[in-house]
Amino acid sequence: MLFLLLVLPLGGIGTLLSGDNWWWGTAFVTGVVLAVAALTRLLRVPGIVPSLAAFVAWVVTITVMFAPDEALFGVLPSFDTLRTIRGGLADAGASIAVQSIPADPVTSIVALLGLSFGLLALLADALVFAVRMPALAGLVPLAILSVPYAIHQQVFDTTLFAFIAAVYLLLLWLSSRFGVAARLPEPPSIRGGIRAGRNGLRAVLSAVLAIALAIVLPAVTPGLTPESFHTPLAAQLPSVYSSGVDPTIQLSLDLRRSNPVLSLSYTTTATSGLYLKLVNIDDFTDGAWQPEGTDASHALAAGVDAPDGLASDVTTSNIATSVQVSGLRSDWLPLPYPATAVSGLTGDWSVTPGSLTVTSVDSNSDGQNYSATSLAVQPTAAQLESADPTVPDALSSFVALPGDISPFIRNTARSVTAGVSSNYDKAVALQKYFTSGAFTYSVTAPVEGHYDGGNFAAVATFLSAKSGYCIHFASAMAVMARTLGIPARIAIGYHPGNAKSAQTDGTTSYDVYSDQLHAWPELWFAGIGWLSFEPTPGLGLVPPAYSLSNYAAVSAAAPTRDSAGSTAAPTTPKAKALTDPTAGQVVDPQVQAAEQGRAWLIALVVVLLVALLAAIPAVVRRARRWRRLRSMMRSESPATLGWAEVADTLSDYRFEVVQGETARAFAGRVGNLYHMPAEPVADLLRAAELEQFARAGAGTLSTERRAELVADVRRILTAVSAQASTSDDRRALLLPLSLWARMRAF
Amino acid sequence: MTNMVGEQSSGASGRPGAALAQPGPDVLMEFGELSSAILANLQRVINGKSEIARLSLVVLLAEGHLLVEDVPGVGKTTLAKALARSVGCSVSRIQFTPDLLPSDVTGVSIYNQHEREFEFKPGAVFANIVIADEINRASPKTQSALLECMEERQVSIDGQTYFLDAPFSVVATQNPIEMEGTYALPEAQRDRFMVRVSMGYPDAKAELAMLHNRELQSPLDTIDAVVTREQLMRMIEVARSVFVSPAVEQYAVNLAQATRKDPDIRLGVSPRATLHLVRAAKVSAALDGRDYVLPDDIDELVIPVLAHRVLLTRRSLSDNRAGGIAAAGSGNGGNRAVDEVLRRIVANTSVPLVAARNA
Repeated sequence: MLFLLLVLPLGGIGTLLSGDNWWWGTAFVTGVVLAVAALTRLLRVPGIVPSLAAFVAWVVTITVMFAPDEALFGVLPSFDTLRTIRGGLADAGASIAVQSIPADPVTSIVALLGLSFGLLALLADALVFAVRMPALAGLVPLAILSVPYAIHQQVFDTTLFAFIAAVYLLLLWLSSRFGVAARLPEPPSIRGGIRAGRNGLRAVLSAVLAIALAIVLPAVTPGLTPESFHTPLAAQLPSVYSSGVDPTIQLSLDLRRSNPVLSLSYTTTATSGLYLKLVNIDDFTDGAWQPEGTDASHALAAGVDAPDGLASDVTTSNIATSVQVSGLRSDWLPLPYPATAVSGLTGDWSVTPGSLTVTSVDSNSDGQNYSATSLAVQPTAAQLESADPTVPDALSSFVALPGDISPFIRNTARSVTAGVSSNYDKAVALQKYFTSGAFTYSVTAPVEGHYDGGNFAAVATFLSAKSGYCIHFASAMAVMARTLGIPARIAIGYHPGNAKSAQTDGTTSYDVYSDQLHAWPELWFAGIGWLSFEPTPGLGLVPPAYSLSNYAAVSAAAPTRDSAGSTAAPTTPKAKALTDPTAGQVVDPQVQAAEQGRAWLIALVVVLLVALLAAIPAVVRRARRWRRLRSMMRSESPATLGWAEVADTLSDYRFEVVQGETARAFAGRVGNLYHMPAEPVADLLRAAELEQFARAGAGTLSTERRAELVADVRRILTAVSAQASTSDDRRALLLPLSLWARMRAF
Repeated sequence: MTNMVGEQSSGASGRPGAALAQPGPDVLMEFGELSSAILANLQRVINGKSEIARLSLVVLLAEGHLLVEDVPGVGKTTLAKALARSVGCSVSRIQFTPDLLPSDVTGVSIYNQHEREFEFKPGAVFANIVIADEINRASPKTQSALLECMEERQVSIDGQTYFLDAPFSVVATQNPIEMEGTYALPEAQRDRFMVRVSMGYPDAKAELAMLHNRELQSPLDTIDAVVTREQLMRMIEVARSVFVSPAVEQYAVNLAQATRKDPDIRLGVSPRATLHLVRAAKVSAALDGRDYVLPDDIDELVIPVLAHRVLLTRRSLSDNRAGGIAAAGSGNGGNRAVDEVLRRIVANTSVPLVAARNA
């Protein structure tokens, strides 16, 4: 029962995490903890022991599941285990901070869930059994449910809530039933049983009413909409819970997720896909990448500033893009750089000069549908070559580096760019250094090599390990550019995504998925401004034309903006075709269908699980009866077994043996209430007493005598069941008190 | 009468642990017949008090001593006499008075002029069944003399030891309310009685029947011995051979231990009480036609066997509003309080339940 109470709310968390492996892990930990507590209670150990045993089980399970390497003898936690688990928790915190919803259930998150649900199971178990305050156990699923509610705001699953509430009320009812029954010195008479049955019906009715009210009331009361409850709360939440792309650079987890979700789609007039930037990272001074400050931002309504440093002699063309954000909840807006106008947004948005990123404090990107106008900057090779290498004062922060930066980075940058003089050539050389095959793309290598992240130590390690993913390439190139005196920053956003369809009006639609989150460096050149580079290999991304070393020749051959566009155009679709030959149209319904199917499957499994759980007592009880009757044919004390079965059956019908009562006294007492068949009862009782208290070695019983005893038992059981009401019969079958009696007697 | 197969051992003194043969069903059957005959005799005398009759038979067959305690005129002495007459044994009766001397009980050595030597004149105690009427009226010295005989089953006079014949059973009566000039039995001496019973008043119907019965003659006169001494000895033997399983022994010990730990009890029962309890339970089982003791036998006998041996704390006495009478170990109020406490102990002590084993 408690298990259900804890596991059902997991369905709510299910909307926060993708996949279902984590569900089994968490449910397993919860199940183990509760099972151990229940088993120890079955053994009738007193007081606090079951809780302690459950605690030990929790510790061992967590250890074995999540930190088996450090454990002593494989199960006992050691100090190293503690350290590992603490590290895992920190990881989980970072993952949660970074990932968008639904998050990828990495091991650390599953561990965190297992850890906390085990604890919650302990708490709930203690509340219900040790402290005997089952009502308080309702706080546990409430707490679990409120987590996804607080994050998501609108994921309110009425069915799920009804399920949990029903389970909770059932728990309350059961505990009050058995709690009272335990204190009754005399079991209720048959008349009492009927009355209790009526009470049960009343209890079910009131439970249904309570659940229905709980669901219907908020819906029909205007002031009680979920929004009015949760909007203020959500506003107070720290930015970690903004649940989108966090502008720290630990975005690796989103890249590694197994089932990406659609983040946004856009339709653009550009000839190739657009890099959509969310945010810039420009502050390197702390030794770790920090997102830009937004102090200088002003309202978007006042217009978008002109891009930094773009002189009028550089060729530009306007690009119109309309974006539909579907699965990205971020304070920042994905926009192509440099944008010149944005329209169609809801909420208050402000724009930051310089980076031209658009951000909001009271709204987010989710569900936005907006149009942006941006420039395609097409400088000539000559313009790039001749850019003034002196850094203006305003941009001095973009070449700032910490004093203790590894000389290895400086030396590598210098050796890579040896032989070229202009900043532009150096930048091209740097990009070529990363893309010419020496480096490989890997989302796992940095984690395994322990240099994941964007700090300088990580950059140095990355440069020697030569394997990583976008953020490593971007940060390494940016740092190296800064060591060479080129203003550099990192852009976080999405790479162009998958081309979906080309429209007749010359626009192209793209789908962008969550794993297409990307990071790339932007370098500044006097007279041209910030230009994007693409040092990350292995993704099939095509670097901008100007960043290729043959750009001088190409632009010299056809220095018109048409040819610049056409150079990129043929290659880009080919690249897209490589990454996703079928394109989004086909994939999308399939993914959705699969997800729906999985949801149904989980629902089915839960229903089956509930049915199975409900059937467990009946099955266990029947199995016990069958085993007893069978072993009566060969046991040394068949009558004792038979009598035990009779006594248990009677206690299933709520006639319980009270303490200090002999079998004979019990039989007499029951006989006063029920019309027991006198002859088999006397026969069986006498045989049982003979086995128990007479001289041993009275000789083994003949098979006929055993069969007679079994027949006695059957006759008694039939008589009892025949006299009981149908509801009593059903209760005795489904909720055999003889099983609970052992659990209660702790 | 029918032949008995039971072991014919002559000694009547208790030998716990002695290996005894298992009585066959025919032996048990004869036991049942004889005991029913005795019970029928007793029933005729004390109308409608089957429980008391049964208890007194239990005591006789368990070789214990019976203390009958009640107000005058309810048939204490009649019961004792009926019991004694029903079995074909020697019976003697001592009316205890303040001036009764120990030698009146035990016997005395008298110088025989003709033989020119001391000759032992056995006292009243030399009988199979001794009725000690109003035992609390005698001086403590005389009481002690009797009680010593009860325990030792022998009399020592002038360095000479005389053994008492088996069976030997004392049926003492005591009057709880006439306190003037009496010496109530102290706890230590009450402990020597296996069972204390209170007669209680007969119900209206039985009292009416009694009036008719006794119009012409005392029913005691109509009582004949239904059992010979030898048969009685064999019955005792059969009862002693009843089997007590370790679980039941443990149960008896647990009960005794519980009386010593109970917060309401000032003085718990002695180990002798436990011994008496199990012996009585054996007889009770045999009377029910069983050759093994059930926990039910123990339960049934806890109050008769243990009640007169425990002393309640003053607090629990005052809670039961029994006051000073009960403090003297008598008085129905005090008895009720003790019964209540013992019942609670029985209810709280786990029985070696049939269902609890091998389940």
